[in-house]
Amino acid sequence: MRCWNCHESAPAGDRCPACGRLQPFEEGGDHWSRLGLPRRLSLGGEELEARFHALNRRFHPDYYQRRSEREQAISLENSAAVNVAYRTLRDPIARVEYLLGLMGMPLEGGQGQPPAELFEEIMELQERLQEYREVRGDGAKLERRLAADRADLGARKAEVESRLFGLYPRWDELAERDGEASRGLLGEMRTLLATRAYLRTILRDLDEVLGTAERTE
Amino acid sequence: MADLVIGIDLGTTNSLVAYMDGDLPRVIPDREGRALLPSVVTFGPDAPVVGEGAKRQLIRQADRTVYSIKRFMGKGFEDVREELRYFPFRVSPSQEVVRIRIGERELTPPEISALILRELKQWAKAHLGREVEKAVITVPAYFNDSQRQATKDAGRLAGLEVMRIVNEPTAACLAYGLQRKKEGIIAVYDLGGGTFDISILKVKEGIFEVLATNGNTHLGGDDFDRELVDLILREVRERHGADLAADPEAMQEIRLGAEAARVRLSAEEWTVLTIPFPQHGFTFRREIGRAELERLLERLVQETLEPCRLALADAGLEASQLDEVLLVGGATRTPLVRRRVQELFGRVPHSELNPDEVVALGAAVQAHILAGGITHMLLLDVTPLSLGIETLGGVMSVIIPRNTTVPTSAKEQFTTSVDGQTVVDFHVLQGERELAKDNRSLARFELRGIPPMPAGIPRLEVTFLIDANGILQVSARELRSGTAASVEVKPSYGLTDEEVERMLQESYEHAEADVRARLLIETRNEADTVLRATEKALGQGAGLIGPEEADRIREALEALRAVRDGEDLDLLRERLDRLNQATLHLAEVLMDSVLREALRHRRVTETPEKR
Ligand SMILES: Nc1ncnc2c1ncn2[C@@H]1O[C@H](COP(=O)(O)OP(=O)(O)OP(=O)(O)O)[C@@H](O)[C@H]1O
Ligand SMILES: [Mg+2]
Repeated sequence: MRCWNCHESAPAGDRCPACGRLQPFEEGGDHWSRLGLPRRLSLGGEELEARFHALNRRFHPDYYQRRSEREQAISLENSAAVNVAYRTLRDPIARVEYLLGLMGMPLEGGQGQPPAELFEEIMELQERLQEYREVRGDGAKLERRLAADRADLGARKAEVESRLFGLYPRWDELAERDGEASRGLLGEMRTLLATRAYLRTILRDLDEVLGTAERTE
Repeated sequence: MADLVIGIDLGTTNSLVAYMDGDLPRVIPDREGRALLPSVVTFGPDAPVVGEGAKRQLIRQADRTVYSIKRFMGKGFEDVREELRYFPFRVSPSQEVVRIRIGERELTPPEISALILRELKQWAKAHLGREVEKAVITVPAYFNDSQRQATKDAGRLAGLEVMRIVNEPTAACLAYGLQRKKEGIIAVYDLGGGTFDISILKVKEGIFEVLATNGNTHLGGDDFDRELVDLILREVRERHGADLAADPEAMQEIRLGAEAARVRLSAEEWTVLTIPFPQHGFTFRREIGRAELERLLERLVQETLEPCRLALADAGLEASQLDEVLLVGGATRTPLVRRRVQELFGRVPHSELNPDEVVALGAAVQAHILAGGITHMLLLDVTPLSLGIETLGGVMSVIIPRNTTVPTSAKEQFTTSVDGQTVVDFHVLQGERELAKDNRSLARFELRGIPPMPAGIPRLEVTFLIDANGILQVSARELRSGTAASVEVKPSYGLTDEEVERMLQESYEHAEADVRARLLIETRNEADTVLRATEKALGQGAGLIGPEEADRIREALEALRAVRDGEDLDLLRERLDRLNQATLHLAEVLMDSVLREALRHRRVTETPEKR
């Protein structure tokens, strides 16, 4: 890339070695490249935070107050990009969702269909919720039952997540060697994500009905 | 050398200005050595008066004296309607921005806040002996976009370049950080006169990263006072059969009496409330104990605890993971507040730095960072409220979630719904509720200059960027044609750029009149000094000079006296100079060195004491 100021060759998203001016990020980069990391699903929190801090020290608008308007604008855009990248990648769910979007296989919005394996169970649960909301039947008993449902579904959600996270290192390994296989793996992750999203919606309904203090993330 | 940038804490009750003196932030006092400027403005017959002088007018000029204006910043009439009964000044019913009515004039909150800022700017200039043009101004962390923008406008109206709007609790944390260099997870509980904030920060290797923030921009010592005010009103009604709620002066007496008693009860177990109402022919007297006050305050103090829990949850932390709790703001001196905070977080909170000053000190630290004077510290703050747009069915769709590190940005695509449509508009909101109508309306945006195309074909990409001040910037372009669409903003509760421009223009004009009024007062004071000194000198030194010279002096003296009370500044100046000239020789020959000094250095360069 050429420096916008002195036209010497300069690395994107860093200072120009010749004139010291801050350079914008390359168009079309992704959150990993902006943080200077390889595109991997397994990421350590410490490593990410270190990049986040280091890059804010490089880009933050505080340090460009006395520079030209152009440089201030670049600093603002770059640090916003770094902050967004960090926010997305530090959350393992947001991270894989973002990757799916990049690979052209985004998770469908909306509630969708309940996963087949949970279909029966969920139908029954919805019925109990309805009953409880309309104050039919034995309230205390229903409440105990719903609390048990909540615990059960919470455990399932945790299990789905751990299966999902278990696939991260495998994808990291495959992505470099075998494009087809890694796409298959992404499809698998997407199914898990959909199940998780579904469980989460129901858990939130339950939280609301039961007034549980802890909130489902 | 680093630029001079001052730090200002623009508070509901008190405002302060600070700067970096070498490596240490320092609060700048006024001439009398006071660091706190009461955030009160009175509009007397001459120029507006700010601070202590205005505070003394709270009772006598109740309807022309404005206090707690911060509670009105970035608000609409509907937002403040309920609490207006507590304020003696008039607020005009209007659609958007609140307008305060003072006699014939109507002033917006940023204009009034600008007067406070201008005063602080003067303090800084007088103290540092140089022009001050740049400032960092603090706001409550939980301030929304309109409130931040209003604060920035106030700075501009005061002739300041606002380098940064920084959050009060984070500023406080910076001040502590500079002084103690302690690392870890820190909660800052900030309860001032009008607002409450809780911020949770992670401090690591000079980086102050805010993890979460929450609060209530309408909860503080003022609300504590109101509990007591209501109690007094009730008892006055019972005992004396008088309803004082409609009497602005009495209301002001009650408020000040209530606040003073409440403050006393922070140190004492018992106190006596004594409020005279000479107009009504009685004095209200009552004993009150701390326990009774605490019963009145309990509900309000509890209201601060829920935001603390939410902030912890958003930060993904348990109270036990905190390394430290800091107390900021005058109202945290209330023992009940300390107890409840201690119970909630399970640790004794710190308040080593003066809770009144620490925010201003932190603002000075941030100012120094921006000026390039400090490079090892960096503050990464968050946006306190989710930002979104109104979608079909009146639902808010979140674009940037709360507690996102700023600066941050997000893109959203829009299109047209009618063939040939060249304008698209959307409504931007802030808040955590599902429905648009339950959230805070920030502005309506209009994208113009879209090339005419069939419906649904244009692809408008709108970029929402929240800058380091927590203020939104919106830009747009049409992706198919690559043209930038122009964005027109209609703030819901704020001033447009044009309005700020117009006010600036007017304030220049006013400022000129104000400067003249001030100069006139100063010159009159100077004239008085010289008149007194000359009379005394003539009495003592008449024998030392010839009768002609004495006559000349007397003549100049009378000439000056004749115009002393006039409005003609130039004439006054001229006669004063003439008298000065006439007494030059007398001063030389005078034996009394004190008088000689008085005659020689009679130019009063500093502003006289304010009324
Ligand atoms: N000893 C005390 N005990 C209880 N309250 C006190 C005490 N001293 C001051 N206060 C209260 O503190 C409040 C003012 O605090 P502070 O100066 O921190 O507020 P502010 O910065 O002006 O307001 P804000 O930060 O909300 O804009 C007033 O309500 C005052 O009554
Ligand atoms: Mg304050």
